[in-house]
Amino acid sequence: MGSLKICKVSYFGELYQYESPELNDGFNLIVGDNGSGKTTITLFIEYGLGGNVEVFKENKNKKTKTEAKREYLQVLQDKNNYVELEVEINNIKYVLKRFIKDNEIFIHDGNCSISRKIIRRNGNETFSDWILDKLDIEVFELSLGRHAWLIDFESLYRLINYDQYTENNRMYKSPNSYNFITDSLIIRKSIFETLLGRVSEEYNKCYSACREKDLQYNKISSELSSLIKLNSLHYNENFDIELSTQENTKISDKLEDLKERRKFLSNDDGSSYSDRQVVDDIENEVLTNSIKINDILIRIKNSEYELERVCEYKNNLFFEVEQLQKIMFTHEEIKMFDQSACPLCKSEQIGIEHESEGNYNSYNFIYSIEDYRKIYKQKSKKIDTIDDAVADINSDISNGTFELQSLKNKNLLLNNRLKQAINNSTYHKDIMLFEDLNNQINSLNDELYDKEKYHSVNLEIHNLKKEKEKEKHDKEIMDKKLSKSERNFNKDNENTIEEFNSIFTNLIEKSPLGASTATIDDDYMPLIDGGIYKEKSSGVMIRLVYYFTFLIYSLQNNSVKFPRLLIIDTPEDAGIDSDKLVKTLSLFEKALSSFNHNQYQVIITTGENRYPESHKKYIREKFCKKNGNYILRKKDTLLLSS
Amino acid sequence: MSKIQAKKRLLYVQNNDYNFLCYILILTLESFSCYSNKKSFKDFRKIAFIANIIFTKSKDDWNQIYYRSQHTIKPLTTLILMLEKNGVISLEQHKGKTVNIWLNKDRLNKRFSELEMFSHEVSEINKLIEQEPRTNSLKLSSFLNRIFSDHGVEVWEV
Repeated sequence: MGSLKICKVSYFGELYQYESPELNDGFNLIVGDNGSGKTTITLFIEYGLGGNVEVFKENKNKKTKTEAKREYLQVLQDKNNYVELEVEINNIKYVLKRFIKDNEIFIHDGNCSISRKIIRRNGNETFSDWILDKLDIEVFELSLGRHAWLIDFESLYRLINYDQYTENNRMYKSPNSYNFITDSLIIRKSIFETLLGRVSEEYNKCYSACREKDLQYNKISSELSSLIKLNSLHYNENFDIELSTQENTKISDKLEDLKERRKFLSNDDGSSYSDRQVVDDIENEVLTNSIKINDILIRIKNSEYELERVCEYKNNLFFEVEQLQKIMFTHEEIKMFDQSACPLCKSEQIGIEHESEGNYNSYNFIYSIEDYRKIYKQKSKKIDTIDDAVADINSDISNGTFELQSLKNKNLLLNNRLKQAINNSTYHKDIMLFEDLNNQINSLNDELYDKEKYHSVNLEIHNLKKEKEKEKHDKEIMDKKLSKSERNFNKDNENTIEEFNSIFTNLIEKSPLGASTATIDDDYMPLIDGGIYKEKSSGVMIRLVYYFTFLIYSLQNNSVKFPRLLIIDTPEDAGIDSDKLVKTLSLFEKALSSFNHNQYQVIITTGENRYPESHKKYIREKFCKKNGNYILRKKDTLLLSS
Repeated sequence: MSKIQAKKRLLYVQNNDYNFLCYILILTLESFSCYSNKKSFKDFRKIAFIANIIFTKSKDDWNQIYYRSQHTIKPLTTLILMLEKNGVISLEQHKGKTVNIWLNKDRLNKRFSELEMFSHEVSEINKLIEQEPRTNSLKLSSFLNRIFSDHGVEVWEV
């Protein structure tokens, strides 16, 4: 049995300050008119207990489209401000201190102070963990698909704090970060069960394990289907491991055999030696022949060049001889060179002497016809000699050409022989065999590769299938176990719900609602008169009764974890008549009167005169905006008044 | 064979032979119809080059032709003096620099250029005329520049 009590609520800042009076066990009433700060106290309490209070957050990216922007200006403008709560958990006093806009709570238990973060980071212990530990509530994890959710104090606080912002027919105070997980049915149910102390550890563990198994099973089956789709070519439903392995070994054996043969063949070269020798000899002969042919060709080319030059010389000689004939003709015709006299001076002397006397430095004889004839003879002789030379060269060339032709013929013959020798040699046959073997080996290799691929793919699929079946089996077992534990849990729960129901029905019947039947359905939501429509204000009463049922039930039953604390913030909304509200509140007082008032604490904020007459003694604080009695007081005015 | 005969044969240079130069000279003068003082062949030295051009059958080396021609000028000078004595040609000193010559038509019995045996030489001279029609009246330097410079020969005044 855990209990939480708020002893004192304080706010300190540089500009504003508030200190509440001591809050007692049992009922505590805080009265004030609109806007005087009744709700602020509940906000301070929530903030001090690690709640995520929207109005104390300075968030520029607040959703202003769907919700009105709400900011507590005085608090946000203040500096070095903090909320201080004096609380009592299981009769041990603690002071909780939290600075505004900070996510850390300082806990002081009289001896030492520790600090706890509010947001879970790196698996550190949070404030929620600390307070749940003190309240003896076990933290457990719920896995919701991909998400995991840890139960925390903030969630439990949804059934401790009756706030104004939540629609009453939702019962639970709306979570601060609203999404499909935090407001999901399973979580609300978990909160309910946790507070009633009916949490079955075994059930939750089973549930989580089942979820995990589910995930694993799905993963394996999706893996299997994708594998089958990817390898549709190789996949065979009637795959037999033994048969496939046998086939593969057969092929490998055959391959090994072929390789051995190839090795044997490549080592054996003695038989083909003589054949190769013959081929080599012929090849050498062809080579030397070719060299000879080249030599002859060069010789012929040289001779031809020589012939050309000699012929040119001969032609020049012919030309000169012709000129000589013309010279002789001119000599006869002009007759200027008479041997008897010098043609220049017509003297008796011979020209040569005249010239040699020094008129001319070089010899320039005067030639007689006789001289010319001798020169002519000599030149003709030269032509004859050259003719001989030409004949020689020509014979050389023709010889060379003949030799060349014979060598070419020989080469042709040799080439034919070489071809024949290569075709006849065993060496050639060996190569054919070798190629054939290689082809066989290659095709076998390909086949083996295909088969092995087929084998491995099918083996993998086979194994996965086996695993899938095993998982399925496991899953079935776990499902059975889960349903069994669920049955047990539900049976256990039924008693709890029955007790809860009886209190709830009792309270509803006595309330001014005028309903005949009231029950809690499977989802732990109240069902009034079988669900027929009631006026909207009735929601306030039903919700109040729902909250008080928790408190009463927890007081009746020690195993209930509900911390025996209710904070009711201004219930007079939704147009509820004040007399109905007053009646409801006095009903609660009556219902709780049988219990010792130090076992519980109820903090109610309400407007002036909206409380039963008997509650007057519970009033701890009175705000009145008109008189300037606002919750936050400026420090200097405070000093003045005191 | 006498010593002088041997010398004659050994030292025979056909392109400088008087008779050779003689018939080339006659053929050239006939081709340009240089038969009078008015139509004289200006500067006889050009004939030395013409003779060597005709003498060389394969005209690959124009440098060789040019240098050979330089040697031909001397015997050619002797020759024109001899021919003048003989009355075959007449010569005239022009402004004390060049010697112009022309053929005395009546002295020769035949026109050389009409003879079959000189057809080769005539065709060669005609080629030259085709290339340079004013060969007979050009100055030696301009003649050399036109004929030899085209073949890459470096020409200088003789």
